[in-house]
Amino acid sequence: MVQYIARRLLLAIPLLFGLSILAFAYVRVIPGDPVTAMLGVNSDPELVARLRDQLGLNEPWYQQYTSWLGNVVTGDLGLSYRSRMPVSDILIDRIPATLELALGGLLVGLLIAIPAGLYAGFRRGGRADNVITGATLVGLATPGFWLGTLLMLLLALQLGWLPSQGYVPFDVDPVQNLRLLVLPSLTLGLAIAPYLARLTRTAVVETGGEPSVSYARAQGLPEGTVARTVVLRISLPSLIVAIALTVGFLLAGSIIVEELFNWPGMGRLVAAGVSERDYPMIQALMLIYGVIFIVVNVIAEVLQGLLDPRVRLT
Amino acid sequence: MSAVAVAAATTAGPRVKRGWKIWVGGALLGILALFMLVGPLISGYDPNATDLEARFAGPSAQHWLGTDDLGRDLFTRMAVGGRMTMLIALGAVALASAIAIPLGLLTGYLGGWVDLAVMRVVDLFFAIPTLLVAIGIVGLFGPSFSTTLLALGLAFWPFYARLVRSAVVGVRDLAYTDAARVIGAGPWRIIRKEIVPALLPLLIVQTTVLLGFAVLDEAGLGFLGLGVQPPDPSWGALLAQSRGFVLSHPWIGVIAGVPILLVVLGINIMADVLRDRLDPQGAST
Repeated sequence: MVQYIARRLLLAIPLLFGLSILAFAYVRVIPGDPVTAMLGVNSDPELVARLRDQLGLNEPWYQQYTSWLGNVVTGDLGLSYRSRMPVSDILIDRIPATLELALGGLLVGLLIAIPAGLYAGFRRGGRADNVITGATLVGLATPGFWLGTLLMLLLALQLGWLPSQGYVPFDVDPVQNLRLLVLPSLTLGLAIAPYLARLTRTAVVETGGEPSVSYARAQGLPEGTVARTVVLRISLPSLIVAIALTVGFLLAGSIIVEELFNWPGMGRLVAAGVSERDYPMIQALMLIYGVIFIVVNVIAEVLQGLLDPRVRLT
Repeated sequence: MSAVAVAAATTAGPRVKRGWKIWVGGALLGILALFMLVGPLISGYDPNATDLEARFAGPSAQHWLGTDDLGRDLFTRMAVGGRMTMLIALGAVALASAIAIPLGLLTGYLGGWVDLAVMRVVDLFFAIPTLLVAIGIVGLFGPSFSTTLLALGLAFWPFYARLVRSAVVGVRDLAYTDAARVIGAGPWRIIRKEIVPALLPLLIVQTTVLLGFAVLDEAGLGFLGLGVQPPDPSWGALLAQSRGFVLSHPWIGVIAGVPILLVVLGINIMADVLRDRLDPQGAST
């Protein structure tokens, strides 16, 4: 087991290395020059030269890379071109809101998708399967932000059940924080639910033919019990890995959902960073999203190994 | 691996579901194509012509879907915007295919260090959300019609390349490719005559699936204000525009999403139909 975990961790290293190269290269391939991007086109040439020197842009690229990487590892992600504040400070303020939204969205998504996928896969070809598969097809075609707009119009403006948008930190007003969380996480959850339902259904269909399932049925267990105890238990390891892969969808979805509901997370920095050409910010966001994805997937593979001894052998 | 039994499967397989699917998918895409191509001609409006007398008009005999904040005809803008969105989506998928198919064929067939190197790059792209890759590329070149196309194409190719590669690995060592090798066919000939025909169903299905994603992501970029720029319409740009007054005039935001939903639904249904017909082993079980 230790060996298995160590191997998973080792496999993540080249990926993290590649990610750092990509993020580093990103700022270097901007058309023009980072200093001009920072100071504007009509800036004093002497000032430009001094800043170039200060930022180490005259050194060879591999030296620039190593010193940049050294900074990143110690938590220094550079200064935002716009606000002149350290990027890491801005990000740390934003991470809790994004995490809260992502967890809320994942929870909603799983609560819808796992039962639906389990039921559809278990009653494959039946009427319920057709209805759920049809709903999945429509769900996959629905743009998330449009769905969010409809939910906002219906639940907040028409019915007045929920506040339409905004954010209050949990430690300031827990109740209002949760009320504000409902619409964004419902939107995000509904957006990822079709993917999750499809994955669950496939996993269930694949395990449905296992001898242990037939055995449980032969024992006379009710279908519901077979589904919940045997089928879900066998599919769980592959399901965890599949869910981890949808973290990409979850993060991409949060960029849009945060924008729609004025939710002050990392996602809102993405659009703002691009329209303001704040390259250190975009670079840091690429790194952070990439690292989150890699870490979540390593954890999922380790969990899979814990739950399913066969995986450890391969 | 998936395409060996193609010939057998075009005649076999469940026919029950296919019947309605092809009609529904075809009807959706046909009506929307008609709307985009002919709509602006019969409405008689210029999509960018403003009419400040008729701001925020509801649907009427003059303006079938009403007007926006500058009095522009929404029916016309949605039709013309649909053309933009579809052009971007088709272009992006063409670009992604042009990169991914040769790369996937090459890495899958050759294996070795080329395969290893390219697939590690692909892994890297998997770690960053597609939308973020696209946004990053928009950040480099500034938002526009052509940047959106480029950004989506470059964001999509890794997924496609990995798929093509693993499919190639599946047929590379099958008996009939071995047979071609035995009679002295070179790698180029084997790829062209043995492997590509076997992969064709998968390629057709995947290009269709990708097209649906491209439409959704164009809308996503547009919604963030990073797609086609005003005053030109696209479905994404219309949604972005509607955000400014979604609370006071929700109508525009509500109808702007409908054609996206219908087109992607039509594309996905057609992808299912194609999968059932061409690629039965990859068909949803």
